[in-house]
Amino acid sequence: MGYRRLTREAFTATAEEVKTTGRGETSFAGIQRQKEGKGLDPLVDPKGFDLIRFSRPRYEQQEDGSLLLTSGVPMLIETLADTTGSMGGNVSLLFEVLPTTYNLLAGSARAVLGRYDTQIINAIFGDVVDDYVLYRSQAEMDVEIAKQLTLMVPERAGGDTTEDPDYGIFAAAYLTNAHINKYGLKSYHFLVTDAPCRERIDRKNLIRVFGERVFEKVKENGHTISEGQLPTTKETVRELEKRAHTFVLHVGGRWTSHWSGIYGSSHVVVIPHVGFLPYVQAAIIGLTEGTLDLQSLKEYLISEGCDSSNAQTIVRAVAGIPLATQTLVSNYKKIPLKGTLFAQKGDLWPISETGKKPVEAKKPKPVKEEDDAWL
Amino acid sequence: MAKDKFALLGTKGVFAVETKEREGKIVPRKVGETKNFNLYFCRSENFPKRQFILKVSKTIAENPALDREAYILHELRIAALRIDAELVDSPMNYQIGFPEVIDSFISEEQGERRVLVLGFDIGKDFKNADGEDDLSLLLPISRIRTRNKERVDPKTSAWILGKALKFLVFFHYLGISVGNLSGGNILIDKEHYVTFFDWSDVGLDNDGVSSEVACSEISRLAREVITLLTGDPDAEELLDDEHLPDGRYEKFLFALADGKFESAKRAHKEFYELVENMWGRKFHPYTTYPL
Repeated sequence: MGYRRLTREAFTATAEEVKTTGRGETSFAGIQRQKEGKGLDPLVDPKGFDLIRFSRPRYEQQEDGSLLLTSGVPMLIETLADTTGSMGGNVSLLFEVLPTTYNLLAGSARAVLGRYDTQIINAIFGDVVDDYVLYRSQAEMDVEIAKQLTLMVPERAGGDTTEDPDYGIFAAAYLTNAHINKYGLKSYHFLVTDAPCRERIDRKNLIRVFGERVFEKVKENGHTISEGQLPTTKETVRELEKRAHTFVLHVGGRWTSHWSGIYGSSHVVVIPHVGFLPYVQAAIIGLTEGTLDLQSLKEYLISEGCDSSNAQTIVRAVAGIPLATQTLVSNYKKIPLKGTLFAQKGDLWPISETGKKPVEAKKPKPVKEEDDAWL
Repeated sequence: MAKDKFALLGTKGVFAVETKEREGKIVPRKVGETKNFNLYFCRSENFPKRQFILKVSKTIAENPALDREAYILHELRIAALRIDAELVDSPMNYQIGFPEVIDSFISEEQGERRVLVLGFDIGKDFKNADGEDDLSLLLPISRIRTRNKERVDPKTSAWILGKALKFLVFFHYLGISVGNLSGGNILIDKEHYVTFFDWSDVGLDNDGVSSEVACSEISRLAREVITLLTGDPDAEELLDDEHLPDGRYEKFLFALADGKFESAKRAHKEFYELVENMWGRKFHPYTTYPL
């Protein structure tokens, strides 16, 4: 468990299962469950596993009792994808592009999240008139990412123009517990849609999606909301952005003003097609983490296999987002890397070289202005 | 050019910051600063006769703004040159309206701060006797009043406003808003060609520049020009001038300043219709009066 990552071999085996058992249908496992009247698998049911999604560090116990951080500090990436109407192919697409996505984030030599333990939640949403409004996976770091996609069944329909990502945004804001936040750093949340949302969260539907314990679990997770006056979608986004870098990847650009009003214009990125997803996500994360800059972004994308013309489009699309904001966090340069030893679970800082006492990383010396040679 | 302590190694060569003597010491010649950046003149052996402005972020926290500025200026230049390649007989010369990024790099010796080296295509009239660039001849329009203690004549103000509006049409067409439209950011040369200097507050909008943003940028530009005429944009007053035989020009300026125009294209078109009707379309030398 401690070292597992998504490998191409493991993904290929799951893809083969989709091809054979599923006869090409990515969602075959979820469809089969529904045929058997079993409902959602707990792994992707928002109610499942006590509602809260945890992103935790992975350790390996050493002979002396200390804990070795096997894969770095976990960084959570959540993608909440529209599956209504023309977005109905998004489960298949998330599955197909997963090797590329994972490689760009965690696998390649220039992976934008190379120093972290990349953990991924995939979620899909429909409309409140649909059978299921939301599916939400666990935070996974290996082939389970792919397997849990096979449990998600896109609605493909959607009741009207407005759709209901609101409940997925609610889950990200109030029912997520990401270890990275303890360092003051933020995780990432991407909403992928071509439609507007309803801008409100309805109590009845909230309980329908998350169950009767939703308010209890929100409180247990450290948040306060009024049951009588639920937050609007805009207020939920404000809450989410305290802990996550939030972006709308808006397909087609028809509702840009709508989404800008909720997320802020610099957090709305218009993309022509969902196929751009892996590269757009890597670009946004790299620019936010400071591992990429705008001037070298096109060259980076091309070097990672993106078509030159698409790379140009992506650079222009992301050029207005806030840049390098993660780097402004005081702990940005101090977070422990893989191989670090900890005294016990829950410690934020590793044990010192001379003893077992957890020590916070020393502050780097400020760069001195070298008298008159400093410009 | 030997590398000295005021020379920075970029990707296009060594850029030597110009120096001056102060209290017996040689110090870099700072030409300006903002809260976030320092500005110096510099030259490079790789670019003979050219002078550049070296823009250094004050801390690494400002590096991203310079990264975005460099990217936008690069994109603007590509777009401007592409347009002129299509309009060989009547080029628009949009590239003179903003700096050219000669180099952009992170300087390790300056604490990993980002450095931009900026060149200018504006006019031809900022060269010294040896044919070398002399960027000190570029004048922020706010200084016409504050430093030179002068006011411009109406035709000069029209020349400046017309050129500036032309550039706003181009920028807004590309979904880019300038951000900084203060008089300190609008530079002119001796032929009163216009260039917008600082782009660290640039805005990009996927939906195109909104009518609100366009209106605001047009308004702020007009207010600066009214100030150049020693007018008061809030009181809607201008000094009497023999070149203003009737109230049409003032009325138009105040309409721009008052946010009556939501499109730079429309403002530019109607502005030139008025000016040509009043004065004809011909070169007017830069003309000022003492305050």
